[in-house]
Amino acid sequence: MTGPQITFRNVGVTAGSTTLLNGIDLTVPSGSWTSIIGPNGAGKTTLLHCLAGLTSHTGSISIGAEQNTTLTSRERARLVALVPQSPVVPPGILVTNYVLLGRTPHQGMRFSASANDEQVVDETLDRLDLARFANRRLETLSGGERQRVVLARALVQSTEVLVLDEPTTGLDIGHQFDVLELVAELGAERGLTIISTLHDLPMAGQFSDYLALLSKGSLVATGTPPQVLTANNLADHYNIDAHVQHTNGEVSITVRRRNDARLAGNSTETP
Amino acid sequence: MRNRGTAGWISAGIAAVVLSAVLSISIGAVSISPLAVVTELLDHLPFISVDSGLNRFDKAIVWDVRAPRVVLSLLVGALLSGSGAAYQGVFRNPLADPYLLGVAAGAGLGVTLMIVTGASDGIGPFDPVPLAAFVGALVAVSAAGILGSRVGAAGSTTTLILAGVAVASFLTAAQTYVQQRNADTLRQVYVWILGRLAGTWDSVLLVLPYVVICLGVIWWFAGALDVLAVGDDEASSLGLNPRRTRGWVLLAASLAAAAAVSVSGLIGFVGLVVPHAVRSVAGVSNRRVVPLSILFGAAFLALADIAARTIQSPAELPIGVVTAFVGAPFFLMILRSQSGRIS
Repeated sequence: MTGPQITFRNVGVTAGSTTLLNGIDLTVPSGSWTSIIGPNGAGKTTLLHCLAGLTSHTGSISIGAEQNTTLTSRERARLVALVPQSPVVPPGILVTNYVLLGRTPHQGMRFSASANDEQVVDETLDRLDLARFANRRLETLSGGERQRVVLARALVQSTEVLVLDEPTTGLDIGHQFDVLELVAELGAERGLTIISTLHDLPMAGQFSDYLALLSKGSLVATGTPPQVLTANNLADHYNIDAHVQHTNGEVSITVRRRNDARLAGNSTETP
Repeated sequence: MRNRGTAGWISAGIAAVVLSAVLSISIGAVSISPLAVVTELLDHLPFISVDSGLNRFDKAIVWDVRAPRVVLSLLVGALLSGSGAAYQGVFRNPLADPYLLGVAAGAGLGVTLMIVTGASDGIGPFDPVPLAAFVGALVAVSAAGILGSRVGAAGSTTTLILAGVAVASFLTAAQTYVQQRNADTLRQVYVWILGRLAGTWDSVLLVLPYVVICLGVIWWFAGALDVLAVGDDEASSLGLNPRRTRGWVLLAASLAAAAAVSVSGLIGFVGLVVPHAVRSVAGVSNRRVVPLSILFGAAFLALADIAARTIQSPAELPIGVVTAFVGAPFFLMILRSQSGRIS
């Protein structure tokens, strides 16, 4: 199984008089991992929400042979699983029951769990090394464990597309790597098409097959990491003076401080 | 949700209902042994014939005086507690309750308007009181929900409760105004407000359809409420329609609370205390919380009614006073255990 190709055609989103996304044309190849990068407020999350059916948009998005706008939310939930940036953790919920929520789009009117649902959940908990937490309350888990649980919920949706909104938020660098390595392994095992947003540019470059750079609601660069992560692009859209080095798929970025700006009394920003 | 052990909990709930009903029928000015009550009840089941040994007078007390009142207290308790559990699920807020949201005050205003205009006597065979209570309840819950979400962050516990308190105060003030303007019906309104369980089979028949329909709808949506617990966006991404779920459950819960208010007056804290207690012992899944709240809510109110009838015997305490005595301290305990989690 290989996940479907996803095509955004002239996708736009406005909120009142503000344009959040404008004329987005993007093709995410089948079974690839594509990361949306860009400065704060560029529209990264909005783009993911369009795909997940949470934001109405102009233009069209196709997921394989399906048109996103004609899908019911239930049909879409069988195609696309979303790992939100800050998942809501219902107080008191047990890990196993939380993961079971991922089976919702496969369940009947009253959302009762079938034996198959429970089996899928058990297998996924095992695969993600979470079985020992099954009967713990989710809020008692550490940030890294909790993120794996949220990932487990998305995986039991049994979709071919996985959408991750800043999956490393709030994790230390070790756990950030753990989560992204896990996503990469699962993506390879299950042939998932993965779209994520990532703030950390070196990690985005290291883990993704393709990058798409969003700035002020428009797509300004797409391609492989070396094509998108260039000193020029970072200067133009992040306003930083950076040195970028690509070595065998690894990316290092060093940023020079803006001494001039400091002398002029402006605040200093770090990416 | 994975619910191993649910059957055991449901059995415990049913046992609590039966036990409280038998106790409530046997305790009173004339004491009747619980065993006799049980045999008398069994005798009325199809295919069972046993002799309870009760004389005609005792039988009349059981069937004409106590049983309707006990059944009504069970039904009203189930309505209040079930609607409380539903509101808490919909608003993702453990403090949501028909009273704190102003629902009961809205229903109260509706009923008061019916009483003072004389419409409560009925228009033909149709009793407009539950309908007026329902309209008042819906207005109140909508106002609280809209105010709560406009003022603060969506889903914030504090703003929703504050909005509910404001709505409740306003509607109570309106209700008091209407009541004082119409001195001739003052006593009638007062008696109703303090909460009375007028035990007649007629009032039982009046609320029974609401019990079946409203609690049925809430029970049907219990699984959806569990999905809704992760918030609207995530619930949509899981394939649920949050608006549709919320709409049905709010409608059913408001109708349930209104029906309870229209037959029994204002009985507070049941919808708050019972679901909370259930959640703390049986877990947070609404698949359990909803049916268990309904069962234990029924039992709770039947027991509260025993207290109301016996504490000042032969006089009766309004049952709303009893539930407030138990419920208010309990509410403070919840607040304390929640402090730090409420935002």
